[in-house]
Amino acid sequence: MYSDYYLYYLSYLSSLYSGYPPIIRVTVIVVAILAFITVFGVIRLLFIGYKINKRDKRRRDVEEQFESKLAFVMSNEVNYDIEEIKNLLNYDQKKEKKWKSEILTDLVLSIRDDLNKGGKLNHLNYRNCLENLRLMPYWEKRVKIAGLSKRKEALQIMGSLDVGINTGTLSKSVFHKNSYLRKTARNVYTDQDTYNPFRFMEENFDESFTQLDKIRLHATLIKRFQEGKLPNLLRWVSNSKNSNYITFIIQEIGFFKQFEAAPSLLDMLQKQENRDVRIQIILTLGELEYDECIADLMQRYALESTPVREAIMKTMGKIQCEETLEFLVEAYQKTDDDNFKLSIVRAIRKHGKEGEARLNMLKGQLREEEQIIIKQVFAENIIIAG
Amino acid sequence: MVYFFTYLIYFYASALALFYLALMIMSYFNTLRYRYRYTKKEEEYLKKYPDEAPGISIVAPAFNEEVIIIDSVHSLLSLAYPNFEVIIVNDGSKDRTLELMEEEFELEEVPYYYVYKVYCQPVKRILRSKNPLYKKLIVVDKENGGTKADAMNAGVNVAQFNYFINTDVDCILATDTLSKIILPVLDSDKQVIAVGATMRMVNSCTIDKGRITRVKPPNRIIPLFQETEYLRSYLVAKMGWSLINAIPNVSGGFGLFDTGVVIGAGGFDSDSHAEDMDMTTRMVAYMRENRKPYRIVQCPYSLCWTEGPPNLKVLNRQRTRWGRGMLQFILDHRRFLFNKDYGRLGFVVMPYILLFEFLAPIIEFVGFFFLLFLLITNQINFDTFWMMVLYAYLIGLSVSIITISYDLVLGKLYKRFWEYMKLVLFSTFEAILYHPLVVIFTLRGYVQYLTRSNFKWGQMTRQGFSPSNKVNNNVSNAKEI
Repeated sequence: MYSDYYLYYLSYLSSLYSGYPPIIRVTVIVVAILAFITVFGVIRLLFIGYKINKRDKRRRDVEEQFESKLAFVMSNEVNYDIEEIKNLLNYDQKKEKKWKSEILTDLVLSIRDDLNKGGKLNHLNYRNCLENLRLMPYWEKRVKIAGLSKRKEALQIMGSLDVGINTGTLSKSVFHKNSYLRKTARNVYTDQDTYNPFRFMEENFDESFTQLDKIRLHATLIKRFQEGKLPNLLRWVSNSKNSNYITFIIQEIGFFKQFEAAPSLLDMLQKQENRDVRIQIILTLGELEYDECIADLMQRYALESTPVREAIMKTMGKIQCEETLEFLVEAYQKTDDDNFKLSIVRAIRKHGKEGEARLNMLKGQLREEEQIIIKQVFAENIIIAG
Repeated sequence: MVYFFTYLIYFYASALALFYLALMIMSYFNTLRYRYRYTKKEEEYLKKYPDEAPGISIVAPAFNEEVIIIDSVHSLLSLAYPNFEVIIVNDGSKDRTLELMEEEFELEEVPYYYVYKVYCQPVKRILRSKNPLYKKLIVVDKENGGTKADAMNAGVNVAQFNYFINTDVDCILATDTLSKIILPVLDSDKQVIAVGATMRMVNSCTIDKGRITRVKPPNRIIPLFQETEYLRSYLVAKMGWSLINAIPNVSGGFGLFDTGVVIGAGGFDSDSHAEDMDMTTRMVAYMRENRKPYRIVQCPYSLCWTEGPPNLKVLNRQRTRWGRGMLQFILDHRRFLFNKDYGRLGFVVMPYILLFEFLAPIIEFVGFFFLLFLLITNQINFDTFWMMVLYAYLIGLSVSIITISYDLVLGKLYKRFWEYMKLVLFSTFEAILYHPLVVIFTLRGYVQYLTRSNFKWGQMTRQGFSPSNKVNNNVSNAKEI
């Protein structure tokens, strides 16, 4: 709207240097741009500072108004209905600003987590509070219309609120081209859906599957396990070609002690070409203490690479029987790799008193420098036991 | 000749301005992207499911650090992460560093089969605590190697986890450092070989039991300038480079490294005066030579606070060492320059270091005397002179101010807003009061390296973290600064 003024000063500046070479005139323009960036930077800084202060003040005000009331309702043993909570909180979302819902969500979640720790949360009142504050519709709307980063945040918050989701809300996000949003949506789906929660687990979960996705899904599977709704995980392995995903599922089979999967895993080990998957199968067989695999592992030991051999050692240390002990002692005597010797000694040490006795016998036969390996493993245990 | 030189300097400054503008834009998008990818929720997962959190070894060498060692170790042991160990390498200290640790942490020698995976001076013994409270602590007692690199190698040989943090005992880490710095590693489809984070000045912060309770900008003028300089380097330059996987250097003060790759690349070089830049480059070369895809990532959050040079004398030592390191780096790694086998390292990182890091002080110094020559010989056109001065001045100032605003967006660490304005105010004097000194000290480093002067590792007067220590701060300790 003041473009005439700007044009006037620009042409004035230009006329000042009109007789100069182009390089000077270019510099004048660049200096003007840099001066603008500098002034803009200072104004931006002031604006950000103002926004932060305003946000902090709003947070304090909302906490003052609602914290004690919400804590009272959510911790009370008496069940309140929505109307009673409405009277107590005296809050009408339609008349309030958007930011209030965001701050209230943080507040409700923090009160819920605190109460959960002490086992004092009244789940019905918690749900009724959310209903009264109309928080779920607020975040659902945001998932539908907001930009990428806000949408991802909204999805995470809906997952944290943990009161179920209308999966129709997720329909756009679960197939979004942005992998971060897509994976968050798929994880929330697996966590919250009641009809077909493992839909994406059966379909490889996602083509880009990282370590962080494993941790997120691990948390979801634990929740499903506690609800008693975890199926046999092995069926997801056969449908997948992503080795990262297969490794994760096999690891979870061990974590959830799905013993019935052990014979199939041993079969899989015979055919498996991927080294990382083989390692995980061996480790999971150890977790499941499946002693039928010992003969196969012994046979395989001589032919495998060092990481797989390390896994075999760990599994032997978990299964712990006379056969594994003999095998480990023999393996120790045959190996030249110092690091590997340490792993073997640790596995032998796990065999309890028999293992210790064999280590003491072994110590007598070794050079002084090598005896330190055994002494080190004994000392490790003393320190850990405190 | 005069024209040629005038234009050379002009275009050099313009290229530098363009580079910084590009980095500012790249850094802006990268920071936004980073904030969007990782929220508190991801960090909570690691705390809630400790078995899933990858182990991290923290390696911190100590040489004559009796003033701060106890607070520092307590601080490191109290980090909020489920799976880590703290390895303190006593690099042949001549004061009571080891003795104090033995008393405070109830240390005793344990049998340990020490394997020299990377070269270092002989290790005398390994100590661990009898008290289960300190079971995460390992102390490596070794013969003095004269450099941080040698001590780091001794620690790396003991590290049992796949990733380790390279830091100093005078650094204070934020409580959530480990969970923040491991996230990019967990969330990458390529192998992440190193992660850097923003470092700041601890000089005027309030510290209680090894933890920062109030972040403040430094009161003294040199660390105050250095605070902005660090922010520029981490939030603009490294965050920008990170977007195209071309970070030239993960700082020696604080960085996460892949243990296997460091060992594969031969460990830290004891002869290097810039062991961090040298290590980062050799790690990249190792990955390229083995045809393994990799990433080096920069985390924008402030995770580490370190003591800045309190006076000119210490600044001089710091910058001459960096200068020596820079020249040595260029000479040692010249084979990578424009070498197609090394990809970005050869065509982006090395030319950038050569042109804008190494040559900058030389061009500025020569430029100053050239200006004097023009003044004396009356060859300056004062109609345009001030425009050119303003041009050079605004390049630095605009970047500093934008950087400070980036920092504020990431989180308000200073309690009061005027503390940010203090940084802005001092940025306006940086080009006049601070930058010329940095140029002179860096050139002094170049000359020292070329004349093979007797290099001495810098002396740093420790202030100590506890208030009681600050009173008795007369002990002078040697440390690489």
